[in-house]
Amino acid sequence: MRESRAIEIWVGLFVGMGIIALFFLAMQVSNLSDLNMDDKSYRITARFENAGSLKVKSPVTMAGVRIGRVSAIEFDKDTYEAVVEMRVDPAYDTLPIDTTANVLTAGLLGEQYIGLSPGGSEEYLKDGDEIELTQSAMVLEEVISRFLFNKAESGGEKSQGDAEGVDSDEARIQ
Amino acid sequence: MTGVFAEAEVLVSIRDLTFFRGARKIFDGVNMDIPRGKITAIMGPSGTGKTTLLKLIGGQLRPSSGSVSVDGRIVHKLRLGELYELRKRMGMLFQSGALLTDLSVFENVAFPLREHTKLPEPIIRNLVLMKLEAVGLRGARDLMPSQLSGGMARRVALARAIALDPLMIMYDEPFSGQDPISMGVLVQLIHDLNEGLGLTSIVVSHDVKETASIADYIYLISEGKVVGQGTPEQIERSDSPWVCQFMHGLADGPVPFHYPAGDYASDLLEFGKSRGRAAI
Amino acid sequence: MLRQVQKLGRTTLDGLQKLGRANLFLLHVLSGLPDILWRLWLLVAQVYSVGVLSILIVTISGMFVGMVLGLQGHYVLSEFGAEQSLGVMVAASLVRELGPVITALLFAGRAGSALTAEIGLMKATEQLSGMEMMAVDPVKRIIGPRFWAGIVSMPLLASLFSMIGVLGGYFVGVGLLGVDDGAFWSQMRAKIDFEEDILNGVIKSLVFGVVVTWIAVFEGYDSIPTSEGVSRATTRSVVYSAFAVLGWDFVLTALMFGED
Repeated sequence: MRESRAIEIWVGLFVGMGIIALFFLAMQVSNLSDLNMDDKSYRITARFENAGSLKVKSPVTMAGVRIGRVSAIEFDKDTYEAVVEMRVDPAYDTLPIDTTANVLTAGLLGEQYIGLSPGGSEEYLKDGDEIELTQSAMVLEEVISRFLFNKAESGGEKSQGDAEGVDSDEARIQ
Repeated sequence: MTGVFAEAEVLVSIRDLTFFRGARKIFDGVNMDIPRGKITAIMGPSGTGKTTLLKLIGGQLRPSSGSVSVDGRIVHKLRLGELYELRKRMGMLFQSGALLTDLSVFENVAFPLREHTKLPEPIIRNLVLMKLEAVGLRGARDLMPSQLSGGMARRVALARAIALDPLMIMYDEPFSGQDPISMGVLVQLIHDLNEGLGLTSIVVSHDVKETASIADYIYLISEGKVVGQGTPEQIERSDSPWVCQFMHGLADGPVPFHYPAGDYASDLLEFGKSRGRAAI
Repeated sequence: MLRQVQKLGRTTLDGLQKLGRANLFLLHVLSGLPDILWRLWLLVAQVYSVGVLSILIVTISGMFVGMVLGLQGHYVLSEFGAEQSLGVMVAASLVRELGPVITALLFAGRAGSALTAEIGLMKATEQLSGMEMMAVDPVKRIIGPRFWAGIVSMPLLASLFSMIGVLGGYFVGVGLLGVDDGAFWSQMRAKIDFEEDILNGVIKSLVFGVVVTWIAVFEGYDSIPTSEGVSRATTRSVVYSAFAVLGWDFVLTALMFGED
């Protein structure tokens, strides 16, 4: 039984180390520390024509600083819109009610997130409010076709007589 | 042959025991009575299933038919809890001692006490020391099993077997492979313990001289049947040729010297003929 | 030809029988949980023998695996200009897969084989039988603590492995290859989810713990009590554990990380 104390100490150390490792992984490696805002955070919703590739837990930022996360994404079958619910850190309670919500992409082909741009109103968003001004996700194909269309238009204005060019450009776009 | 002992005298009663291991018939209608308070020897050639018999008495194996009862209760009909209770009153000494290798001698003997009783440490300590003293190994209490000789290991196992003051002890080949001195020690111990503690002892062995010197009654088993029984004097005087061969260690008799083989002369000639060509 | 078929049939039947025995055995072991709870010392002693003594191999392997991940990861990611994501790569690989799986395989080799050999040897020297005759159930007394010790130790060891691995990757990536310190950790924090990645990794290691320990302990208990039988059982326990761990890894990964 003399060895028993040594054994108990080692086992205690082992279990302790294991728990520390788990803790390390939870805190340093994962996003656990960031998730704890759920209970005190306040909800705001926004409607988009196209929610793009937004996912639950996607970040919500303002001025590039993450102030919250997407908590739910639903589809409104009457208005055919995407209804995105967000939870914002209670420390950031000065969002004007005319804030715009944009669906932006991180990097060129990265994941999508919601970027909030402040309006000028003196009234602030509270729990349960909805953001009126929204900008839907950018769909790559639409952007390209719009770009080409604009190019074609400006090309047509400069050289009025070049109707063939415009026609042929338009034809190419279709 | 039953009815040699009066019913009240009998501790273990075996009736019409038949046991198969796979397709082999190990026991064929065996009848035995083990009397209380005496040393009963079960002897026979190697491989007759003597260890199996002990396992049947201890409930580790179930008979194919027939019954084994200990102290009036049929062993294989007991529920697990009752069987465990019965086993606490039985001690068993295995051929190898079967000591737990990671525990010291003291811990080994204390094991049954710790597992089955709630006695406080000081009492356990004294009990263990008393048991070890009885087998003469009190001074070896802190050794590990790997440091013990075969004979000493068996004595420790014996101390462990009597730790709970059982009704009976079963000895599985206690004398095999021992030098004359250890053998003498064990013989003495078995006899003294039986007398001193009022135990019933069943000794399974094929060491004729040693066993016969302490046994009160002997059963001889061969080929799954009881081929002889009686007190040592009765066995000595027996006129059965098999009993005679066994008890006196004769090389040839009912158990033949030669394994069955063909004719000797033609076997030699065969050998010469077929190899002659290959050798060239 | 017919004999081959016969042999196949016999092998299958033996295999099924063994599977049945293994399951009955597991139930028997599980029924002994109350006994363990009020004799915790037995469990602690086994956690030492099975867990503490595996720490060395787990941490050293974890360190090397993490360092290699750092090296290889940097090499691959730099082709896409994404070296700053090295932290995520190392952490995700370790926490989700390599931590639980490699730890389980190491555990099977070190602790599993030791358990099989120990129990097989106890069977061969009649210690298990002796215990039965002393009215002590060897499955509850000897096997039980070892079984639960394995289950308790595995997640702890896997977490250790992952942690040391991440640090190893950090040492190589940030220390040697110039990945930005802040980027390493912040990207990792942003992308590794506690529930999805860490908890799933722990669940995996628990499942592996059950599987590896069960196999190790059963092979020992079921072994033929000769020296050859025990050595064969030990080999079998390591090999079957490896198959089982990898197979279950696939199933669990598909369940956990499949498409939403």
